Amino acid sequence: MTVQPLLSVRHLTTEFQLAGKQIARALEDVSFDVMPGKTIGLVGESGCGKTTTLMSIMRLLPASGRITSGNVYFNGIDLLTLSEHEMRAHRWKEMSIIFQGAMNALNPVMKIGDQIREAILLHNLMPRNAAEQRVGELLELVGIPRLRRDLYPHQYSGGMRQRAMIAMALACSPDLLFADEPTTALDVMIQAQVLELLKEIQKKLGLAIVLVTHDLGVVAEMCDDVVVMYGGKVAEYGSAELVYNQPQHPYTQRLLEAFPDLSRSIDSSTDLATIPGTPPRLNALPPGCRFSPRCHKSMEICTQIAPDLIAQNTAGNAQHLAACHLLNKLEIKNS
Amino acid sequence: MSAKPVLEVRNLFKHFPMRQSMLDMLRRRQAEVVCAVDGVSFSLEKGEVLALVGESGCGKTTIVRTLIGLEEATSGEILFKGQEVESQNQNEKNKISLKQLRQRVQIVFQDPYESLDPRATIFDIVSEPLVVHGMAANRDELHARVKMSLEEAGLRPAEDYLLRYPHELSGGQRQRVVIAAAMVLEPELLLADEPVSMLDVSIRAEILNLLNALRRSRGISILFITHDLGTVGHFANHLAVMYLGRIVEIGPTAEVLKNPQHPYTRALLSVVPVPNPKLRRKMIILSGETPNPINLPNGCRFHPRCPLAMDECKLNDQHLVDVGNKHQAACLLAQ
Repeated sequence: MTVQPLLSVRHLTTEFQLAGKQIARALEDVSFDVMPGKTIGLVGESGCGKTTTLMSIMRLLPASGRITSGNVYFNGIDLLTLSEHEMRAHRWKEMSIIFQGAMNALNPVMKIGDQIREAILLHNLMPRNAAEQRVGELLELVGIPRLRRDLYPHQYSGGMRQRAMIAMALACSPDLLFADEPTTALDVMIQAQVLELLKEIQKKLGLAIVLVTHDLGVVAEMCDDVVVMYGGKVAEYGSAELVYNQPQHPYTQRLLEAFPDLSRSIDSSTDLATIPGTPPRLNALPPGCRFSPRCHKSMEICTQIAPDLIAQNTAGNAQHLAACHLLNKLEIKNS
Repeated sequence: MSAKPVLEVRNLFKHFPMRQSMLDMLRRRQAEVVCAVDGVSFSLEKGEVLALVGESGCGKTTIVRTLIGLEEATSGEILFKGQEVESQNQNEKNKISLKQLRQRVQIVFQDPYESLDPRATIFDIVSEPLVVHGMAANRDELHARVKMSLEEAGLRPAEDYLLRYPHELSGGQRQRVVIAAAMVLEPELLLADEPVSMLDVSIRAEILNLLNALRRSRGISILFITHDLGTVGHFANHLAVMYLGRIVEIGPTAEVLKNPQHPYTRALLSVVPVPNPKLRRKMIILSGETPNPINLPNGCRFHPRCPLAMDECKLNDQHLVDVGNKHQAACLLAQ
């Protein structure tokens, strides 16, 4: 029997209305699956649509954003067809999110424990003392002593605040947790602690995690699958082992080369590889492949036609797809 | 005679007295003291890069602030090219005045979003140091030097940037402006306080390469502050690991990274994420956070968190000992 994905994103396209009737297409044709209990990583540079993907799935886009096509199936239900009222029954109870910048996502004038209790009571009908009991359990789950519930956010350190955010996200025992750059502002040691905590909680609760980050190292440590995004599209998608060890898209290859890796070399005399240029502006996307202006392997066809995602031959049932014309050519040659 | 090191720090202490309540003052209680920097010595040769690595609260930034005269050292010596720096603007003989020092030592801060005046144009920002120090004879020279500095920082053609404002630039471009403004005075020493930790992977590589290029072409020395050992291997010749105001390990980068002696260095190294899912290793995750530098533990400062702590560590405050190859570590187990 095959396991059904918990979350299936299909051909998701999201647009933003800019000033002066301009339209920025922030996401185009984004598809991926999240299996229950697994971790998937969304990676890419700033502005490639990682956060927009999360916000589209959770239907928390700002007023200027609109999902123009696609489906988001959660346990078989298309979330995009639900009314706002129905959506609320799913949000936080079944899927919740740790927002970017835990430092600023907490209410500074409310005790940590009260904030967590608020999240519980908003979604569940239960007596106050039962909710209070749950607050204590959640704090212990994330490694904060119960006694600290009455402190305010400014009395917590960065790592503790991030733990409190995780506790709040787990308030209604969701099946799916979105984590938007959960460790970006933290020190490496605290980062390791938070990642370890997420792994532990995942094991304990059987949670599926969607991890958004620009740090390739964090994804390699945490994720079963990886989606590499560029300019609002999926550039490469597959199991972490395949994407890291046999990257097919030139963007993924370059991104991996640019990442300082102590396991590869220690040499201060050579320069790190870089990707020339900057990511495209979403209201002025280049024709053809969006990466072509920065790609060192760009061909004529790349500036004219956008490549589709092509499945790679893999052993077993591991998935690996990449959107690059170079792969197409090889396929023609092989056949 | 060998040339004097660009920067030499000898036994630097910086203690901050805590604020006392009126009652404690009346009782003549001794004020508590935060030992931010507690006996640090190092030197930096011309054209070399020394990385200071440690978690937040270990005193890295306090060292930078003390070096440039934003804080006054409690005790210890700071020698710039063999000359002492005067403490206040008192025109002491044989000492470098603060103004002279700040011409020859420049600083790059962590956050390119907050370290640029949002209402000043790029030209204003980069020309200001020249105006302050009266280093341009006339407007033409001012223009020429600003342009040269911008182009050297990789903002080409400089004309395109002169009249723009920081909000029009991306994070990487802003950090280039910060570097251009620091380099316009042609300093001999650059203090870079986490210059890349806010940036995306590919931009991070570009900025590190830029600093490396400046080091090669201008022969400047760089004191590179970071919490991420991952970026150090590709950039710094020398590495000093700090914990609670002390250097616990120091030596040539490759030597320290390949043969770490102090348990703290080993732990820091083990939590650097490796971008390869096949190489997931056992991380040494230290519990808790850097303790408060007010109540320092007896003996070795690291012993409460050290996985290898012995009874002796609670009594013996081990200082740096030579372990060969110019490599020193402050641990009883080091050999």
